[in-house]
Amino acid sequence: MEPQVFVYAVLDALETGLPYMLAFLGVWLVFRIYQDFDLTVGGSFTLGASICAVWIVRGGDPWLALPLAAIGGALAGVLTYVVMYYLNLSLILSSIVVNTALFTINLRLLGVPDVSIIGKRTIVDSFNSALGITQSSQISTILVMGLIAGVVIGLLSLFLLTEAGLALRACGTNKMMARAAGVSPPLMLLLVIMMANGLTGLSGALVVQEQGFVDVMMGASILIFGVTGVLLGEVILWGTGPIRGVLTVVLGTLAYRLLLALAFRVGVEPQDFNALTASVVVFSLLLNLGVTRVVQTRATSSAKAISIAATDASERREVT
Amino acid sequence: MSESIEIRNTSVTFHRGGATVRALTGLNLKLAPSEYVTVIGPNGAGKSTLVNVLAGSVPVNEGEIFLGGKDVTRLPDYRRAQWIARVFQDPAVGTCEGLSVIENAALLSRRGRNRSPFKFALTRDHTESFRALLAEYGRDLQHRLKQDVSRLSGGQRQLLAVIMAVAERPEVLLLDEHTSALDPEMAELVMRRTDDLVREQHVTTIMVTHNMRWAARFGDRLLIMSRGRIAADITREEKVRLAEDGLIQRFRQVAAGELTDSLVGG
Ligand SMILES: Nc1ncnc2c1ncn2[C@@H]1O[C@H](COP(=O)(O)OP(=O)(O)OP(=O)(O)O)[C@@H](O)[C@H]1O
Ligand SMILES: [Mg+2]
Repeated sequence: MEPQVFVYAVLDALETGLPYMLAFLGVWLVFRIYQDFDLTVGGSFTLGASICAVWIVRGGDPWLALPLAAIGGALAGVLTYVVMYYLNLSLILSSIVVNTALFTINLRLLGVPDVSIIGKRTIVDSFNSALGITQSSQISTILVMGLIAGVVIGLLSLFLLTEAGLALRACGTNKMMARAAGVSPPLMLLLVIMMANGLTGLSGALVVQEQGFVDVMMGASILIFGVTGVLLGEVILWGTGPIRGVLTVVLGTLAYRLLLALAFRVGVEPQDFNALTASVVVFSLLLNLGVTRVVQTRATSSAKAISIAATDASERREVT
Repeated sequence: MSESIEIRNTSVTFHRGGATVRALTGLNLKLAPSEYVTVIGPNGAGKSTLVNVLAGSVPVNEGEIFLGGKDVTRLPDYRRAQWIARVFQDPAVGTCEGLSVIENAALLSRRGRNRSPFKFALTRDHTESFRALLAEYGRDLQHRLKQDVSRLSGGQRQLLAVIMAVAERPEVLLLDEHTSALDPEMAELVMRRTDDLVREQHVTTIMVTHNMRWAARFGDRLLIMSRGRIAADITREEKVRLAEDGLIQRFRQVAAGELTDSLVGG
């Protein structure tokens, strides 16, 4: 493969990956921080995209479409929470119900299965004209999408370090301890579902503005794509801490898109991409399993040695 | 002064596979502020249920619970956390893996209070004051603030849990066999540190223990539970007078009573 092919693939991966990144962060929030599965993201991704497309087609401001899409996504999340809470369902089940309903809502919103916004003014056009760029290019798309993703990712990382963010992280790993600390698990669940679907809705709006159309099925595989990105990221980078977790998703998303872009450049057909995705999931899980084993055996044996030494030294001195 | 804890006529029934188990039967208990009580009793006597009912993690079938004169019977555990701190039997429950030592402490430092989405969880002030507390009570834990708690031993985690529980002086401290998962030496150390902290902070404390000698040694008042009831309520003076041997005898009497009761079907 010539080096140019790789460079083009990297640019493709950035162009298509950056808009998706926020959706994958939403998936990660529920999957890794709250340790549950929320299938609403499929519907809220398309909802965000549909809101954005309809808004822009009617002549709305492309920037304003972004918060509208995020709010739409977050409201879809609230709906899942309400169904879950009042019908006493699991998150998975209630999100399947809401996701099914969202399909109809999205279709009604669009009126037809797909809507194009090509020729309408997007955030990339607005960015270009602000900077006096006349020829729209891949680079300016990457810049705009990167800027938005960067700001949102920065805010999310900061949030995870706050008092509320810490409570959320604790609630995902140890509900008993979180409750004893006065953290309300229902409130944290509502928060995480709203955040995840708000991010996903926003991401849908970015994808529409990047690719130029919305398709009512476009959210169908968002959950599995997100999980793939997360797992692949965990192969590249592992460890604990919220910032590291966010970085894992960023790297994982880009690596995953790069893989797809390379595959496309070397002639793999798009209908084979799902099989490729499934292979990446299995491959990442296998690799992660291997890495965990190695790290654990290393860590436990050295931790044991250290703790035995420490116990000998100080425990006896203290007690008697 | 009003009571710190009052449990009125409280019953708890569990249903398990068709059978019903009465874990508490019309239990009454009052604790004055800063009273320090140890609880002992045979397996299944209802000690953990008593603690859970106070904390709000097990609902009552009958009766009322008051904290500081306020009826909290209907409040969930996470709302009662503004008054109650607890340490669990299992070290993995009382500290949160995936968070560092100082993050755990920061999480608990806002027990039962609002958590802002705009303020950083870790502040220099809190870190320094907690470091000082660990230096005094934590046995070298002050050097491990940034480590994930999963890297600490069970004993270190329990010690940390006790220190975190009393760091922001709670109204009530609940300890349910919090040393039973530890080896004898570490258990002794955690027990002594717990006793020091409870005495210094004057916290109203209920400490369940499985160890008769500790029940005799620690606390001002001793409750012996049996079959969902308080079978003996031994005051400080009586406890001193009976001493360890006398208490063990008392415990035997209660346990024997239980045996006779169940034989006659009472
Ligand atoms: N969640 C539950 N579901 C069903 N039964 C329960 C539950 N919790 C407790 N019980 C039953 O209630 C009774 C009292 O249990 P509890 O755990 O309060 O006893 P305990 O005095 O703490 O005993 P131990 O010394 O073994 O810890 C027991 O018969 C127990 O089997
Ligand atoms: Mg118990």
